[in-house]
Amino acid sequence: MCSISNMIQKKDFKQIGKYLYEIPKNFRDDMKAPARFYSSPAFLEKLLGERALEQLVNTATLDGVYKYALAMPDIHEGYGFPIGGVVALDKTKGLISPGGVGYDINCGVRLLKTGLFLEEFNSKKRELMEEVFKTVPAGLAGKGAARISLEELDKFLEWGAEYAVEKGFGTAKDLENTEENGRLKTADAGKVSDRAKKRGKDQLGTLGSGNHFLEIQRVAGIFDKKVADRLNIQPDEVFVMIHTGSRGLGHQVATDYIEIMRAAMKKYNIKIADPELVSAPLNSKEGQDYFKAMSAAANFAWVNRQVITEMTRRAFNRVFGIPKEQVVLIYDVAHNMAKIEGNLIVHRKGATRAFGPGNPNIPLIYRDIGQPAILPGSMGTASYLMLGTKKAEEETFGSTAHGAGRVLSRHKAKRMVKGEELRKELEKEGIAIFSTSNVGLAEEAPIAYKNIEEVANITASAGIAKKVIQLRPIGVVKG
Amino acid sequence: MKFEFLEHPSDLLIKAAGKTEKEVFKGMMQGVAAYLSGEVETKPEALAEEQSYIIEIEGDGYLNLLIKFLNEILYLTETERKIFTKVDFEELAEISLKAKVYGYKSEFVEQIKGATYRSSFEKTPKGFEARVVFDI
Repeated sequence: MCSISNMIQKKDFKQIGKYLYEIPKNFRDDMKAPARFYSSPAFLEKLLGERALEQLVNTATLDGVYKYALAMPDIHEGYGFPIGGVVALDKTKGLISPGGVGYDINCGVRLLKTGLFLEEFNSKKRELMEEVFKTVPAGLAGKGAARISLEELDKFLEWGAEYAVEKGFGTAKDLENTEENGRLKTADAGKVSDRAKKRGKDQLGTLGSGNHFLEIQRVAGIFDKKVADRLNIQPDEVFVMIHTGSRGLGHQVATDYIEIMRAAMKKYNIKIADPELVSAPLNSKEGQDYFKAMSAAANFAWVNRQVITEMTRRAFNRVFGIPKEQVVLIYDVAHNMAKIEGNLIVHRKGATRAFGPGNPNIPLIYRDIGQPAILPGSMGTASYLMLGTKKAEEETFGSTAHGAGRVLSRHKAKRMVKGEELRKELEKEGIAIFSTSNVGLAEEAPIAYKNIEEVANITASAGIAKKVIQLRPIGVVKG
Repeated sequence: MKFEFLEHPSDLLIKAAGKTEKEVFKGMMQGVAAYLSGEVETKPEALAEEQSYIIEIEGDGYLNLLIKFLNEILYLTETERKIFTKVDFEELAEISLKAKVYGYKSEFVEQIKGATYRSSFEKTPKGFEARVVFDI
């Protein structure tokens, strides 16, 4: 087991901004750059007792690390990299690490605007929720709406959301409002094992379990009226948030390539601070193979969210009689990914890309205001629509937080919370819960997470994202 | 009980102990079964159906073999939709494993994404002990 004797203490870092802290490069001999993290006094206390900061320091030892290793305010312990970690490495000399992406490749979140308002929605809320629960499988049973052969799966893996739209799941406008237009061109289905394909084949259009969800939300607060007006968002408008990833296919790609990289480490004589950081040079065969397979898994995740979007639109159309095109995709962001951005390979592990105004990589409709960055809360709590900033591009390689961040283990949450009681409590607050398991509910109880308001406030005060609206849940579908 | 769930901040940590390496491998597999089915106790081996699946792997030590073995089980779990509770080892040496595993059709309460290398396999005065962190 990893030692905890090196637990980082307050004396080991200095505050360099209102919410920004730095562990200097000379903290440990093997560091190749400083390690920085965003936090607040309230979060800091808890963070000091965790292994997450040590994991952050470990990422600052990777070959080719550029400027500094970073973590967002929702940082917590992960596999290899901490969740909330953002590490940019030189793309010619640097490494790529499956631990910097995680097991759920391109786990991400998207936000749909329905044009419906609370009063009308509430009149048929149960009906709508039942319809969604029926057509978008949650939990671990059930097959997705897209029934495909292994041969066709390769097309989805290489063409991503583009091919999903071609097959009738969504519109061209959806692609515009998806990070990378829903397709990483570096994908190669040939680098994804048959086992990964078999594991994921029937899962297109499914939410899965854990913290994944489909949530119906209402606009509960507007922080930037100008932007809200521009996007035609009004109080009490109903939104849908979808949080899921590449399912079993992505998990298997991670498992496969961690084994491959273990062997590559010896071949390239790579020294790492922690065995969980297995890596290969991006420009090696193993590095390129992983990058191509990871890209394919990322495309699979975008297809998954695209299929779920189509099912959601159909449900709204059937229940409320509104045209499908009224349900508009605001944006789709990835949380777990390694991407080439300029001269860098940027690993975001539980972090959101948040490019600022003027960046050519964001759609024209957002180009003057910044890229929408979605900050989902834990079950039953608020979520935020935010915008990326220039400062994020300067300070965080264009990144911001991805969610609330866990503070309580699933195990503890299960012991402390009874799923059935939590369901009743949330229903009392007007949140309809459609869940396949009470155990799953308990694990995702709000007390298991950091305060999302604080995460949003830290990123806004630090200037790496801007708050636009706050959303509050009125219905949850989860595994 | 040959396995135990230990506290972990974000993932799943299972400890398994036994007099022999085989007992540890089996205990860990049953820990996975218990977690997936939402039961604290292992489902009895008797539940396992007759159909078996062969797992044949090579590795660079017991820890490596154990992680690979568990990832094979997780792959079979998800593709065959079975929970595995019974194993017959034909061979288990430091660098190779051949076994037949048996499971039963079941719904899953929980999901495991993969067995990770944040894990250990050690000799103890009483035999062997492994601790494996699973990404969930």
